[in-house]
Amino acid sequence: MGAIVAGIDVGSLTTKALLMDAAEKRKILSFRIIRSGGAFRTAADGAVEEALKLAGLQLKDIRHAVSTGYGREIVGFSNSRVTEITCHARGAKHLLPEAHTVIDIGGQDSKVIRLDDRGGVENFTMNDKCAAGTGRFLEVMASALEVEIGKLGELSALSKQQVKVSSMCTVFAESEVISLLSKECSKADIAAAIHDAIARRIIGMVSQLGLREKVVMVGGVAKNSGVVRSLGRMLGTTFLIPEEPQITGALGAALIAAERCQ
Amino acid sequence: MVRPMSAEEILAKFTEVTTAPRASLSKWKEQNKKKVIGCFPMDIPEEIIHAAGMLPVVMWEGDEPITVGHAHISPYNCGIVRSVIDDSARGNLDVLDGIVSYETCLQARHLHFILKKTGQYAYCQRIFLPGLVTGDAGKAFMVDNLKRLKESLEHFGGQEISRQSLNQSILIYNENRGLLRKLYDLRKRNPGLLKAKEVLAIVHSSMLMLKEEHNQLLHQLLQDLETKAVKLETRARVILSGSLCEAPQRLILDLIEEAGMVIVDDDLYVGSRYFANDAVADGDPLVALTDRYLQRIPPSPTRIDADVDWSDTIVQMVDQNRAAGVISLVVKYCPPHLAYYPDIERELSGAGIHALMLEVEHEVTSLEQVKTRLQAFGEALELS
Amino acid sequence: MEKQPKTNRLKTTAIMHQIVSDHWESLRRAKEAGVPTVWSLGMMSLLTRAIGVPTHTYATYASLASRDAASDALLEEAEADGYSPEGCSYFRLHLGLLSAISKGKPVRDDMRLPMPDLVISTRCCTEQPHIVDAIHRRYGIPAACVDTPLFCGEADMMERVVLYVEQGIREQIVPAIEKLTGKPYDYDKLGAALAIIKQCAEIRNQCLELSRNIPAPWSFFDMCISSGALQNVGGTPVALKYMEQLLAELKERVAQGIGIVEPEKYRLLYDAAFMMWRWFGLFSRKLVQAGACLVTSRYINFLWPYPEDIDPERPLYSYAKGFLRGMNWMTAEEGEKQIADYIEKYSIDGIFTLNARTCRAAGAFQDIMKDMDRRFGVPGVIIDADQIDPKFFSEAQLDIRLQALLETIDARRENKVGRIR
Repeated sequence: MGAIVAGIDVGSLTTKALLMDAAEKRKILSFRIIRSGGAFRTAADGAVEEALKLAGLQLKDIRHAVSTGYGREIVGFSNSRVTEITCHARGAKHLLPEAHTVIDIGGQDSKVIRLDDRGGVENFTMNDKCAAGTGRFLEVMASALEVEIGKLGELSALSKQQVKVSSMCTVFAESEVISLLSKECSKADIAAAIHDAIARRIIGMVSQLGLREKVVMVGGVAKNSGVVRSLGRMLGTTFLIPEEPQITGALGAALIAAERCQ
Repeated sequence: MVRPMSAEEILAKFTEVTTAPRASLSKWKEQNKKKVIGCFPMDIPEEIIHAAGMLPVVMWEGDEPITVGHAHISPYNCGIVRSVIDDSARGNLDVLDGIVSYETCLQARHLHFILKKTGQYAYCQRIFLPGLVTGDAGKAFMVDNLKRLKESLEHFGGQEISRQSLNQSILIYNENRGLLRKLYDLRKRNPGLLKAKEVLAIVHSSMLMLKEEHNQLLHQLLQDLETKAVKLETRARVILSGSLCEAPQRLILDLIEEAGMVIVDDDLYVGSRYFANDAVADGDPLVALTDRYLQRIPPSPTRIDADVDWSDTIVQMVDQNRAAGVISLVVKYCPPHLAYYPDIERELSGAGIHALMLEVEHEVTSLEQVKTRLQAFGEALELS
Repeated sequence: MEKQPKTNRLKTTAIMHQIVSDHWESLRRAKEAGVPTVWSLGMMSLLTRAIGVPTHTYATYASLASRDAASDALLEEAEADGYSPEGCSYFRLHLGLLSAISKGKPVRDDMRLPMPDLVISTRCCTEQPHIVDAIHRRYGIPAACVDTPLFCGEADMMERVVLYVEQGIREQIVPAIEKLTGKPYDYDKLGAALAIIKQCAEIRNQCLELSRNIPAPWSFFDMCISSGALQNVGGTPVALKYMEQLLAELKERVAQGIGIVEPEKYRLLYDAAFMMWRWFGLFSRKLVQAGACLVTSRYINFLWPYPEDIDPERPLYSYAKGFLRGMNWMTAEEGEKQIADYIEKYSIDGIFTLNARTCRAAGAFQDIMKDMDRRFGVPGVIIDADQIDPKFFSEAQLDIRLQALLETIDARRENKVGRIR
C-alpha cells in the first residue's frame, strides 16, 4: 500500500469523504456521504472518521488531505484547499478519460465545466444565485405535486402529453405547477415538464461553454432519471453517470492530494 | 512649515476620499467654499465645470443596500443608477450643489427626472453626448451641446467662463492624466508595487478631488513609488475588463489577489479609460473636449463604433502585458456589456486566453460564490 | 342579471392579418428572387420601404413571432449562442433567429426571415445600436445607425436635434442604402411615401379622438393591430385604404353608441414601451371579462405623432421631425404631461403599466404614476413581466394585479375619488 490520501468535499447539504491509496492505481479505499447539518467542521471530521473506520485506518495514516466544496476553508485537518470546480474536473476525467464536459447539478447550485485534454479546467459556468436549475427547484416542485422527490423520475416516465413550465423563477414556476394541477393535468405530465424546465436551465449553461464530448453528469440530481432523460434528449447525447455521482468532487480532491504528496 | 505627506499618508487620504466621499466632500466644501457638481458617469467633460470655478466630481456608487430607491426605479437596473437614486431620496447627495447627466445608457435615461423628484438641487442639467462615434454630425452637435452646458453654468455660477480659463483647466486635467499614466506604467513594470485597491484609490480619488490638489499629492506619491525596487512577480498576471461606470468593489480586487493573481492593467472607466488621451489645450477648448470624447481608442462600451472591436483591444492589452488571463466584471444588468460579452469570450477563447466572467452587482449576495469562481480561475491559470 | 361581457370586434382590423402576413411573405420571396432585404429598428423602415426595398420592422417582428409562443425557441437559441437571458428579449429574439438560420436549424415557416443584407437603426432606445453592432460583429452584415437624442420636451433643443438627426441620416444611413441598391437615393419616393404617412397619421389621430367617446369604439389592442398601417406597410396605398375604412367604421360605432368592450365598466390607460405581445390575446380576454377597456396609450402615438409637421417637399427633415417627438424620445417630464393630458381627455379611471424585466426604457413610471394619483385620484398598477419572454411572466400575478386595480377603482368611486362617471 502506498501513501494514504483523503479528499473531503464539504457541501452545503452533504459532506463527502474519500480515502485513496496514492500508489499508481489510485485505488479508492472507502468513502462516506453524510449530511452537513450546517456545522462544516464537525461534518468533515465525522465523514472522514467514518471513512477511516470503513477502511480500518486512523487519521494519522493520512499523508495529505485536500478539502473542497463550500466549507473547504473550515476543515481542520486538510493540508490544502482546492475549489470544487477543479476537483470535479479531475474526478470526472479519472472516471472517464474521454470526458470533456462535466455537468454537476447539486442541491443548491449547478455548474458546467469544460475540460482540456489533460483534465484541467478550460472554462466553467455556475448557477449559484437562484434555485432554478438546482435540486432545490425539484424539492419545491415535488412538494407542490405532493410527490416524494425520489419518485419524481419514475413518475415522469409515465408522461403522455407535453405541458410546459416556463418561468425562470422557482416561485413563479411553483404557481404554474399549481395552476396546471387545477386544470387537471396529470402529475406524470407535470413531472416531465418540471424535468424539462430544470434541463433547459442547464442547457443554457452548457451552450455558453459549448458542448464537447464526452459528457459526465455528477451531483445528487444525476440520480433523478427524469432529469437525465430530459437533458439527454435536449443535448442530443448520452452521458456517463458514475455509480456514485455525489463523490466525484471528493475523488478529484483525493487525486490532487495524491499528486501533492509525491 | 507643513511637512509633506508620506506615501502612506497620501494613499490613506485617497482611500478616505473614495470610501467616504460624502463626508470628504463636505469637509472640502467647508474649507474651500466652492460649489460641487456631480457628473453622472461616463466621460462628461469636467473641464468646463472646473473652469467655472466649481468642483466637478464623478458620481459614485454608494455602499448601502437600496431601500427607498426602489420606489423610484425598478430593481432590474444596475447598481450605480439605483444607488444614486437611493442616495438622492435619502438626502445623501446634499453635498452636491448640482448634477449633470446624460443618457449614458437606457438606465440613466430618466435619471435627471428622478433626481429632481427625489432631491433638491440648485442646478440640475440634462445634456447630450453622442452615442455613436462616427461621422461629422456628432462633432458639431456635441460642440453645440457643450456650449449650452457652458452657458447654463455661467448662468448658475454668475460668472463668464473664458476661453483662457477653459484651456487652463484642460492643461490641469492633462497633467493629471499624464501622472495617472505614469502610475500605470510603473505598475506594469512592477505589478507588486501596490495592491490593486490602492491603485484603484489613486485613480478613483482623482474623480472626487480638485485636480490641482490631486496632482500635487500624486506627484509626491509617484516620486516615492519610483524609488521602489522592481520585485520578481510570480503570480499569474491578469487584465481586468469591464463596461462598468462605477469603481469595481475593493473586496473583489482583494479576492483576485488572494486567489493568487495580480492585476497588471485594465480597461475600466474608473481605471485606464479615465485618463486615456489628452485634450488639445491651445485651440478652441470646446472643440478640443469634443475631439477627446470622440477618440475611438480606447473604445467605450456605451458608444457604438462598428469599426473598432472591443475584443481586439482586450487581446492587445493581454499581449502587451504578457497576461495569462482576463477577468471581465459584468455588471448586472449592463446591457452594453451583455451584448458584447459573447463575442469577447469567443475571441479570447480563440486566441487561447483564459477568460472568467464575474457577474457583479450592488448587493454582494454571496462572497463564497465569488471566491470560488476566482479561486477556480486562479487554479486553472496556475496549472496552464 | 348582468350581461355576459363581450368584445364587439371591428370588421376592419380583421383585414390587417392578411396585410401583415403578405408583408412578411414578401421578405421571404425577396430572398428567393435574389432581392436584398433590410432589417430596421426604431423608425427607420420607411427609408427603405419607400424606395421599394423589402423591409422588416423590429417591434412588429416581435409581435408576429410571439403570437403562438413560437418565439420561445428563438430566445433559447440566442441563450444557447451565449447571450444572457438578462438582456433585452427583442435582442435575443433577433439574434436567436440569425443563429438558427446560420446553423440551419428549423424555424417555423411564418416566422422565418432571410438573413438581412443591411441593418439600419436609430437610437430609439440606447440598446438598438448595440443590437445592430452585435449583428454586424457576429454575422458581418453591414450596419448603419443614426444617433437620435432624447430631447423632446426641451423646447430650445428640438430644432437643433432635428437638424442633427437629418444630417446623421444623410451621413450614416443613406450611403449604406445607396451601397446596397447601387443607386442614388430617390428622395422623391420618400416624399411620396411621407405624403401617404401624413394622411394615414392624420386619420389615425382622428380615430384616437374618437376614443374620447364613452364607450370607446376601439381599444389599444385594435390600435396595435392597426399600427401595421404605419409600420409594416406604412407609406403604401394599402395602408391609406385601411385607415379610411377604419375611420368610417369607428365613426359609425360612435354614432350608434357601440363600444368595443361591452359593458365598458373601466377605462384604462396602458403605459409602456411596448405591448405584452406574447400574451396579447390572453390579456385582451381578461380585460374584457372584467369589463375593462384599454382606451389609449402613448405607445401608439410614437408613430408619427404630429403629421402636420410632415412636409413631403423636405422629406429627410420632416422625416426626422416626424418621429423625434414620439414617445421614445420624450423626456419623462414631457411624457408625464402627455399622460396627464390623456387622463383628462379620455376619461381614464386607472393606469396599467408593464415593467418589462429585460427592458430598462421606461424608467420613470413609478414617479409618474404617483403624480397622476395625486393630481387626478387615478390609481395605477405595475405588472412585472416582459414583452415576449415567458421566463419572466406569471399569469397569477397578472390576474391579481389587474383585479386589485379594478377593486381600487371601485372603492374610490364609492368615495367619489377619481373620475366621476
